[in-house]
Amino acid sequence: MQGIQEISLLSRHTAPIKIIDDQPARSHYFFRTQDAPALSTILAKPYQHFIEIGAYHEQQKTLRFIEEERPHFSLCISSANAFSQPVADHVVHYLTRRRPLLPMLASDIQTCLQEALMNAIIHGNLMLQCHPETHEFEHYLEMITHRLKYDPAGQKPVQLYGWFTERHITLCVVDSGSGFDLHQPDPPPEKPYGRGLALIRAMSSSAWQSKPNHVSMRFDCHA
Amino acid sequence: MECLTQQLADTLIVTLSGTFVFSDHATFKKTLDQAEDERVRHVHIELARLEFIDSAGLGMLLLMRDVCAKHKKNLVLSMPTGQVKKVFDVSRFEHLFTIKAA
Repeated sequence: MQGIQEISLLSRHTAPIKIIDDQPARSHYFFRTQDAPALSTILAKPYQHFIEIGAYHEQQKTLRFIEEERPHFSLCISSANAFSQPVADHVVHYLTRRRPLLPMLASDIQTCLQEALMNAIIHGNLMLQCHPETHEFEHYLEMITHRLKYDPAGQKPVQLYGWFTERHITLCVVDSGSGFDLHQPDPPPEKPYGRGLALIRAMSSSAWQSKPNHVSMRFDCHA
Repeated sequence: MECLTQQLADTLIVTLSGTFVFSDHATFKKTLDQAEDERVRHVHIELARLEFIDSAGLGMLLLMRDVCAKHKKNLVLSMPTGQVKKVFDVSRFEHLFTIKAA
């Protein structure tokens, strides 16, 4: 509940997004997967909201969320497309163009975003819950790659929303799964899986869930 | 990620650079196989040029730890910096690995 209130407050009181090149950002940029150049090229365009057409026909939900919560930035992209590109890296570059970020802050954002996106794709949208041991890892990767390519779940969208204030950057990653517990216990330290949520909790200023399939992360800009 | 390997006597030197994330598994799997070679007694992973690692990359380093423990080989992680060092610290890797500082 606290998370919902925080997002609502942010959306009501934040200043308009500042564009470094002084050109006002246009609102929505729609792209098709088959037409899409590298995401870095798309995110270089002077828009605030980037939506992949046909990402499981959920772009309407994205547009509704944008209307209601007024994020300064959003990206709706299919799981298959998101998995095949370094989305977190590109998004951090996008954010850096919008407002200067200290290198360590940019690095923390990239780390948390990478974990949230992989969690959304693999566990949320593909609904894979198994944790591979050494001998299973190759099969696990093949299974993910195959499902992203041939299963309709590969077109399920990952949605990313961002709010920027003078003091904070807040990012929210949304998947199409049944949800997860951000505060689930960490696995034993020697296990080769399950560190993603722990990294999000440790490397963001705060992290919370407003819905079971949402994870929001706030980063203090002057820490 | 770029993964260069070199075997000097009984030591396998692995130099990682760039970003080490889930999709790099196939590349690193070959290194895991090389580490299982019975002529290898020591595995030394150079991290000075690795710029970014995620939890899957950490997991693959732990898989290497499992391989080395199973075959009684010595494993050293060398010179993590920046984001990689911070993620190691958060994950308390100093309790799991021998880490040679930068």
